[in-house]
Order: sequence, then C-alpha cells, then structure tokens
Amino acid sequence: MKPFGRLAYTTARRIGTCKRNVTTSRHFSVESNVQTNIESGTLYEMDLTVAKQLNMKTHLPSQLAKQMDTLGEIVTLVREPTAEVASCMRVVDKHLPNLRLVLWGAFGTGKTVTLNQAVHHAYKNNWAIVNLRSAMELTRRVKEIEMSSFVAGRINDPSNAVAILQNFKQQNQHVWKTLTDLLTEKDYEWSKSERTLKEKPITEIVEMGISAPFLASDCVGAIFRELRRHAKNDKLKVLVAIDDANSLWGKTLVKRADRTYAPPSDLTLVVHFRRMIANDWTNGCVLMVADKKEVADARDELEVSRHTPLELFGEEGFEFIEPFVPIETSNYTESEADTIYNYYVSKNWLASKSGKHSFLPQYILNLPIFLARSEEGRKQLMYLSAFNPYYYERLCAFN
Amino acid sequence: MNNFSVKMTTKLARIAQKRWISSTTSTSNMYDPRVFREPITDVQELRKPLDVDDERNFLFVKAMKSDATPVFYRDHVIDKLIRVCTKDGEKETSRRNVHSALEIIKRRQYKAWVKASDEEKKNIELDPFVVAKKGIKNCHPLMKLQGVTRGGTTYQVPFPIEEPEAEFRAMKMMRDICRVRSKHGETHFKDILATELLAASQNEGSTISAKQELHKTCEANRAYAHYRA
Repeated sequence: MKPFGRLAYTTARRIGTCKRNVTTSRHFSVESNVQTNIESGTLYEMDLTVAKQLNMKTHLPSQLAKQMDTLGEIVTLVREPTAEVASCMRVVDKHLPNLRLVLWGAFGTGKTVTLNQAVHHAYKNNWAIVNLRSAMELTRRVKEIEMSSFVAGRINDPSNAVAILQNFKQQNQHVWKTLTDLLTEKDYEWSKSERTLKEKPITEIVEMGISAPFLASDCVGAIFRELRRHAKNDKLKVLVAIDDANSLWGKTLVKRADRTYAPPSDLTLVVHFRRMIANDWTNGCVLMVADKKEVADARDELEVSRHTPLELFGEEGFEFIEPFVPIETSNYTESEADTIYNYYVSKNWLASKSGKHSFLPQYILNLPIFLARSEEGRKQLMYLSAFNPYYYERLCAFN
Repeated sequence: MNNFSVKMTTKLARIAQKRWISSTTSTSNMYDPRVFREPITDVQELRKPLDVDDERNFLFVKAMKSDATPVFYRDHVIDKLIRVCTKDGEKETSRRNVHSALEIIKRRQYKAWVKASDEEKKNIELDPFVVAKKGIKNCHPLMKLQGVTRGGTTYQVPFPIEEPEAEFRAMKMMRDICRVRSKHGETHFKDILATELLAASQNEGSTISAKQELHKTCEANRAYAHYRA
C-alpha cells in the first residue's frame, strides 16, 4: 500500500473505531445537511420518496425490492461495513485524493445493500452521486454498438450511456440546483452541429446526452470530467458507487468488426468509469463491490471461485485500484439475526403461528409442528440459513 | 413344459434386471432388512436415550429421507405436493417451485391484509401453509374413475377412494393444470400454482371445476358400478 493510501486508511480506521456510542432509537436519526453518525446494529429506514429518487427498486437486489413492494417500506440493517463506509466518507476532503473502498465478501452477505446504504448516506449529506447498478451491464449486456468518433478504435454504447445519464439526473435531483451553478471548463464540440460552450452549466451536458443517444457516451466522459474538476475545487463532494466493479477488468461480450471480443479497455463507458476510479482527483469517495459473478460459472458446481479482491479484480485491476481500503462483509451475528427476526415479527411478516385448524384431517394435526414465531423457529431460521443474510431472507419469505 | 416356462421367466427376470425394467414390486433394496432399521427423525425422540432392548443399539440405521429432516416448516401436505410436482427426479427444482408459490401466496395475502380494516384482517389468513393445505383439501375428489374391461369393452367405473389417495389425486389434478398453463413459458409454474392454490382455498379455480367435472362423470357412470369386482 502506498504511503498516502495508508494515511487515509489509518485515518478511516481511527474514525471508525471511536464512533461507537449507544443509540436507543429504532431508526437512524435524520438531520439534513449533517454527516449523521451511523450506528451498526440498528435498523435503517429509507423514505419511500427518496428511495424512488435514488432508484432503489432497480439498484437493490430483486428480493429486497420485492420486500419493499410488499411491506411498503425499506428497512435494512446497518452493519459494520456500512458504519465503516460512513466513517470513511467522513474523512473525505479536498486535500486527500479520492478514497477508494472495496466491499468484498461471500455471496449474500450484503455487499450491494451496503453500497445502496452508502448511496443513501451520500444523499443525506448532499453529495453528488454517480451510481452504476452493475458494471457487468457495460461489458456483457451491450445491445447496440457504435464506433467512437472521438478516439479511433473505441466502442460507444449509446443505450447504456443514456441509461447512465438518466440515472445520474434522477439520483442527483437533490443537488441539481448546485450542479446547474457549476460551469463547464471548455468548449465541447460533440459533432458538427452540436456543441456545449464554455461557462455553461454542466447539466447541459447531461441534457445533451439524454436527447442525443449517439453523443451520450462522450457526454458521460465529459460530465465525469467536470465533476472531478469541481470536486477538486471543493464545489461539491462526489460518491462513485459501482456494483460488480471488478467487471471493468473482466471479459466482454462485445464483438469487433473482425469478430473477436473487444477487451474492456476498448469500451468508452468502461474507460470513463476507470478514470473515475483513478485517484488523480480529490474530494470524492469511490465505493466498489468485488463480486464473484464476473468469474464464477453458475453451472459449474464443482469449482468454487474465491471472492477476495485480488482474485476478482485480477492483477491489472488490482494494480489500478491500489491503494484501497478493503471492507469485508460477513454473515450475521446472532444479535443481528435477532434484530431482523424481531423486525419481521413486529411487521407480522413471519406468518406461521400456532393453533390448530379445524378443517385439517386428524393425521396431519398429530404431526409435530414447530413454527416460525416460536423459540425453536427462531433458532432454526438462524442455523438453516447458516447466518447468511440472503438465505435468512429466503427462509423468512415463505414461513 | 412347466420347466420351460420357469426357465423363461427367470431369463426374462434377468433381462428385466439388466435393463432396469421393473415389473414387480422390489423384494429387497440396498438396505438388507436383516441388518438395517428405520432411523429416528423426531427431535424430541432423538434426545431420549435408546431403549436397552432396541435393535438399533447393535444394528445399522438407514439414512434419513431428504424430506424427513426435522425443520420447523416440515409439513406433510407440502412435502407430498413437492413429490407430486417433481419431474425427471429434480426434486430440488420442484421444492423451489412450491416454496416460491408459497411465497407468492404470502405476499398477496400480506398486501391484502395491510389494506384491510381491523374487522377484515381477522378473516385473512397470512400463513401460506394453511392456505395451501385448505386449497388442496378443497380439491379432494370423492370418487375416482378406473377403467374396467368387460367383454372387450373398457368401462370407466367409479370407485370410492381413501383420504391419502384423494389427496394425491387432488394434487395431481392441480399439477397437471399448472403444467399445461406453464407450457412454452406462458407463465411460470410457481405463479400459476400460487394462483390455483389461492383460488382453490376459496373454492374457485380450474382445479375445483376439474373436480366437479369428475364428480359429474362419476354420477353419469354410476350404472357401471356393478363392474367393480
């Protein structure tokens, strides 16, 4: 780890460990424009209107999105990694190069949820948010391609670029006013007829990209460039949250003219996101998720791939993102499982309850029945899911 | 002649054994009945020490069946439904389907429950297991039709059935209806199964009408009842 990174790392560690006071409130307190202290072990409720603005329905794992639809609220558990991310976001300032955090951990332990909690935290603190649902969409789910007119050999991806810009616009409505006050550095000549002049609001770039898909990929690069510049000048703080970030160094399904697969470094959007990760700018935080789905073959049940950052990012990617703060997500502890259990009981979500039903035949009633609400059920839920948050939720879903 | 026929049957039996064709019930399985005994699956029972003169003290115990694990959501009807819905031996897939159907039922009921007033809330059953069991129970047919050949003609003769068979036939009817509906990706099996179970618990839906259809045919064929032998 390079010295500068170590400084940032130790600062983050120190801040992370000294903020451990006891809170009694069920939901985390809401104060606008203040970096609120996030306590691990508490439940974290997001406002539904805010969740809609932050596009949580598509960004959260599908099971949680379904849960949000059913229960009519988003309540997630604040765990150690979230508290760590929040305390790291605290130390971000204009003199330190951007802080790079990598969330890693086994399947279902809450990497994506932590990322989304961090996005919500950034929203609370009025940061600008650059959020990518999955970097794999840029490399594997490319519907249409166009050759770049800006750099020879680069491949543009209009549909994904427009989606990124639209998402950016939607998620940053809380700072849109600030963004319109920020001005462009230079003239951007998109094509012969379209251009954005110097000293214009940078939001014009976003609007330009959304209205003209064939320019969108270049607009993404320009808006990122302007954001970095303004962050360096301390006009605003930026959170870059990329899910499955290791896919930026993975394999692609984009074919070039000679029918070979293009490397990710040829994709314009991938290049733009890599520039956002590079730490040549200050006053920002880059939150990445190292996810196994890039390398793991879902049909291969014999080989179990590692989920550590080095294995997932590969030599090249790892070298690029170094120095970074690794944050491991892990399985529930018993008290965390209990918190979720009690929440589900209070919402009446664990439905199976004791009591005999008269319409059932006698031979069914004679069977021993343990139920989810009982002490036995509480214990079994923990051990059957092996304390894994994903499987815990799955078990609670039908009981 | 007699000797020849015996020879033929043993030969046939050998071929059948080789080709995995079973024409009779198996007389023995991998567990030699002389040295293997049934396992204990009940947790309460398991905690007690074994009886002194219990044979399991010195004999082998069979492996537990995969659907006999003592989990708290163990349920006779749901396990049977999983077995009935299994196709090509893929029980894991079937289990996932049935459990997803239960999840869908629970979500629908929960949404209705949240919207309902306090008075109506009492009538909404949130437990998907109870809803599913009630649905299956409502689909139990009273009779079955079985082909009986008399004088070269096959008659569909109504027969009375026991409770377990009625349960099986109810599940099979429902499964066949769901399979037809989910063919060619029209809908997912779990979605249609959830819809059917919910409807059946209200005495509605295709499975209930299939049952009524069966009852009608039984009624029409009651004249053949004397062919029961």
